[in-house]
Amino acid sequence: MNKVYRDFFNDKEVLFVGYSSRNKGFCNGIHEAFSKHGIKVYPLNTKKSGNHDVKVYGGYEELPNVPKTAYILLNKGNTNKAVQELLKQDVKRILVHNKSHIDASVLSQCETKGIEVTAGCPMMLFGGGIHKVHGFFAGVN
Amino acid sequence: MTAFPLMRTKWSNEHVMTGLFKVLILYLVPNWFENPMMILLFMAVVCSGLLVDVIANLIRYKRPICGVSAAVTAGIIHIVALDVPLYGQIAGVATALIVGKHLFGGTGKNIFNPAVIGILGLRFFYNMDLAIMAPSYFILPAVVLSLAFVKYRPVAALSFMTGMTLALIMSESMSMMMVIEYGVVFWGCLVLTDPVTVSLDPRIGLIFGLILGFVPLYLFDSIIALLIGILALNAISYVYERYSTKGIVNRGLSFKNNRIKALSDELMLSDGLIEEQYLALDALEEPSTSEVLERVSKSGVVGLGGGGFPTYKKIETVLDSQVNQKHLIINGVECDPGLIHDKWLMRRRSEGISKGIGILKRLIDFDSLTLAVKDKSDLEFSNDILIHQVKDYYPVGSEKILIRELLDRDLGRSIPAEQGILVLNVQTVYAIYEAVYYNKASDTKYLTVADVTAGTGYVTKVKLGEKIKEVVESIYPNSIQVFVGGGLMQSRIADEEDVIERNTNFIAIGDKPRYKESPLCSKCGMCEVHCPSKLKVRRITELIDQGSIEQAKELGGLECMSCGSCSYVCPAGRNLSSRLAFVKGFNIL
Repeated sequence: MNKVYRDFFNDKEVLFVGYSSRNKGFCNGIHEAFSKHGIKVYPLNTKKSGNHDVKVYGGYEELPNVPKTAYILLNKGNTNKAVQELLKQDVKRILVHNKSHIDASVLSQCETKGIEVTAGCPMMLFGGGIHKVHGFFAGVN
Repeated sequence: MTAFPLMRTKWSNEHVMTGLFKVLILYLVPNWFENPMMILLFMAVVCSGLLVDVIANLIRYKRPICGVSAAVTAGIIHIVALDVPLYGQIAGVATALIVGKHLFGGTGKNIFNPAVIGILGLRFFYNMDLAIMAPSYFILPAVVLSLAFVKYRPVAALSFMTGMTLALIMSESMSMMMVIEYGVVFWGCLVLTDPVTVSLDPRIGLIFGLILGFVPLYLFDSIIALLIGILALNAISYVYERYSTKGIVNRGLSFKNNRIKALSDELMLSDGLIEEQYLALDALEEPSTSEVLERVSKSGVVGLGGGGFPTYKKIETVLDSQVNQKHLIINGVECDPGLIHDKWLMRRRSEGISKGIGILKRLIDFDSLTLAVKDKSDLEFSNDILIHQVKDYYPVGSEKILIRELLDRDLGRSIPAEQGILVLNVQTVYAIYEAVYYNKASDTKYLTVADVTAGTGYVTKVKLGEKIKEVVESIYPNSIQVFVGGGLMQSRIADEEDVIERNTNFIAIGDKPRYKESPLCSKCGMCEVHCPSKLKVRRITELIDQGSIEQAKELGGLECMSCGSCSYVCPAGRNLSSRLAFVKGFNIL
């Protein structure tokens, strides 16, 4: 699995799967970083609980359109479920926050369907300060 | 979706604590010149504090949290216990952070000042004097810079320093060197100003600050007396803050230098709109009361300042009000720093507004008629309209605050219209004029479309129901982040399908400010100081976060006017006003 890279977001829109109120500060930070770089974010959380600063879609049917690029911020079990769901949609690129969160079998499913999967924190690309340092050491640019 | 101010304070708790840490270093610099090895000692003490704090925070929050407050605690202990051996100082810092801070739940949740607990613990094993510093003029820069921290608890700090100075005078040992030696400014500005452990209430600060400054030095000359006194003040502050229900300070926000500026004096029009398109086809020059109310009702005129309440109902309420004196206040204050369209209307549509005021005057026999504005230069209104220039602070344009400013009346929870006070926004008055004179439906409105990053904007006339996205696209094409709301201080991210509502006053593009939602509230009290409703904002939002909504309502959560001041000033980057909107059961926009 490749590390995330800048051109991965060339579509200028991304589906953010797992936008959570429990992790509000971090999710907000990622949302802002994407937005500052001209990438339109569609936050998705099927539980749809909490008080959000942005519109969080409760399901794929609520989205005005499903972006071709998705970013998943979920734990291991839910990441695999989310990828399975994305396979049903017409998503072409998936970024998982942590490469250990996706099973090899799910990864090969994606490869079979021609879906590119990368791993990494988008803040390494679009954040500043310590995130840049993290990106430098992780070899993300 | 929650609303939030599109700008916020640049200060964070971490900035303040870092500043404090630098001042503490300045206190030590003279010692370091004499004995450079002391630098290593200081670093060891600070690192031990950071280590304890990092471990405790990792256990509690499962992620690293900024430990600058632990460094400050370690620094204070190191300065006061300079003669204590290294292992003793490390033990003191560990005691301070574990017993004084983390056992209570971490930063911002402690009742007692951790550094004071650490020093008191050390005092049981080592001898320490109340005279904590070597008298040296080299400490003066640190003393002077310490004064900057007075702002966090000014009354407590100044009272303490006054008390200690009095004690020095009465014991006939007053001198600059004694002030430095006894750490008058050190204790007063760096310890007594700890917002977490000292109440915001100036009465507590005044009484206990004086006692604490005077008694330990004059009667006991003992550091134990001072430390126990500070802990007692901490306990009193905790009990008071826990059980008091109203804030007592109310300071408005000033935005004189960071307002949105009009890029052009020309009016922008959304697609298909032509300004002044109606003709006097169905004009009423001398309408009766019923004709006015009928036209205002049929035209759908509502409060265009953001309230959205049907105007004819408001007028009817004032008509029916059984009070001796009735007042008309035209609100042209536009205190929100993002809005520019009311100012434009008052200068470009003054004739229509004057005629609208004339309609209202004929309708009700008002005892006073005031046009409230922030700046009355260039305004052209007839002499029978009293133009009142209000003090320029936010949120002076809020209905009840404006009544307090103009009529010196505090209405509490009463509805102004029921008290015979008709407050209407200038645009609403203009809509009344259009409705009565031209039978025009109130289906358009003037608002501000701004670029918050550039700090500029346009006055724009739009159709109600028009898509926000289309309005923005015509002025700022290809914008990614669009906000909509009542003003710069209360907006939310616009959705794809959002349309212009009657209460939409502001559309903006730009970057969303960073609300980091830090779990570390320093209890600085800025949210309460700037709350126009004098609410115990911190306590109420704490209850909301715990899910105790009913208790939050009992503390006055429903009285929040959603001005956004608390979110703007919060150095922990918390969107507090959105929490309060949640108590009210809706988001204000």
